[in-house]
Amino acid sequence: MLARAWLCGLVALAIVVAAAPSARAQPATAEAIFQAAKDLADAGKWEDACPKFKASYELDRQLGTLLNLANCYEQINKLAQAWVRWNEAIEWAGRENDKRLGWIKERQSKVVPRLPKLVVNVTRPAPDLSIRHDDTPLPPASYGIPLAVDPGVVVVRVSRGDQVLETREVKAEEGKTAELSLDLTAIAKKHPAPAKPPDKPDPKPDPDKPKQPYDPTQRTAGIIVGAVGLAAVLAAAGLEIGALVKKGQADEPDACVNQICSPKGLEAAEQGKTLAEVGQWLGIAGLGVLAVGVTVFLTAPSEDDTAAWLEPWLAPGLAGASVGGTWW
Amino acid sequence: MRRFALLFLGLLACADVLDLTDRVDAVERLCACTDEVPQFGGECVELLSERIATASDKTRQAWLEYFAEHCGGDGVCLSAYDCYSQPGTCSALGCGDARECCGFEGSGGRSVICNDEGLCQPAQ
Repeated sequence: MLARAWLCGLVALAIVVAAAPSARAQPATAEAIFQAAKDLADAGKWEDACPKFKASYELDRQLGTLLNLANCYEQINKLAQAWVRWNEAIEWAGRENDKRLGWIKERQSKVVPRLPKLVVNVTRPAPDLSIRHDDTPLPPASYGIPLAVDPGVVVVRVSRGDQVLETREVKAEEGKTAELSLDLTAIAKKHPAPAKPPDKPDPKPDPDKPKQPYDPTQRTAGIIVGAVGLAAVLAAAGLEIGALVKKGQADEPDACVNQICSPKGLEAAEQGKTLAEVGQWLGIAGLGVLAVGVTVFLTAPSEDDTAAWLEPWLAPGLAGASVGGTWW
Repeated sequence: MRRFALLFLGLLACADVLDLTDRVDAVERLCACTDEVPQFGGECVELLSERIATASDKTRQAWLEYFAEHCGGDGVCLSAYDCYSQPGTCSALGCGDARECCGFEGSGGRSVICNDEGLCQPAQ
């Protein structure tokens, strides 16, 4: 017993001496916390010292502080946390070729056989549920794998989002492996997810609300404008037919040959050209006016629902629009 | 969108679609060659238009085909007299000048004259 106490004192002294040079270079806050932690440790108040070593290390990461923290966890029997810190220290010392590497490995190897293990077996998974032990989330990849835990009671929680559905407690003992089986599907069924609130139905029209009086003015205007446009399109079609007739005359073999025309042939061609051009622009204007008329008509308020369509179409030398629908 | 609008207007350019543009009056082209064809003063177009209009359909077609083949290009005036002297535009009867008459220095070595009464007749 005396030998063990002497060894601990020696270790603490070695750690303090090792940490001292770097501690001098720490920011003032980290050093102050470190000194306070050291005083607590010297007084045997390891439970109070560990949080301070941790705070100092998080403020200013130094290998000496990390070694003190690992040792502190080991003193209060938080073996899993000590093991993690010793591992971190081994990596650090190896990277820096620190002469304490051998001693750190020796400390870590003494912790390993004492570590309690916890195996969480999930028999049937549930996609919307998650598992945590203490405050550590367990990803699905860790199911069935021995995980290092601190000795004592390990609390395992099954949650859906922020809501904890079930809590299990497992006693973890030094050097032993505890197992816990969870049927997440059964837990999910036992605690069904709250149903989503149904979408609001479309508000129904109020039958008591008086209807706006039907005004046919816009519809009438649309019909008149559309009729004017349609008349122009039909007139354009007539002019184009006249142009085709004149083209036929100009293409007679005694009228034109390879664009070379007799005076009579040229006259027919010129007349055909004039008819075609007038018909062309009249047709374009007519289509525009017709489209305006149809638009005015279709956007007019009606007593009943109206379904209609306007589809322009093109063909070589021709263009137009188709109008259809159901109304009245 | 702009391309579609141009296509739309292009399709509607009916005169082009009907191939009614870029046609030329053969008589006007011929009468523009004032140095190569007989002199008719300012009445060339009227006179030749009347002759081609009063010719038979077959003669007019043959004249147009000959003109299109030999005088339809840019060098119309190089062969203007040849095109003029074809039946349809040359004169078989009345004349003011022997060069108007069909067969003037024509094929077969024949030649014609415009006599004192203003009529074309074979040279003696």
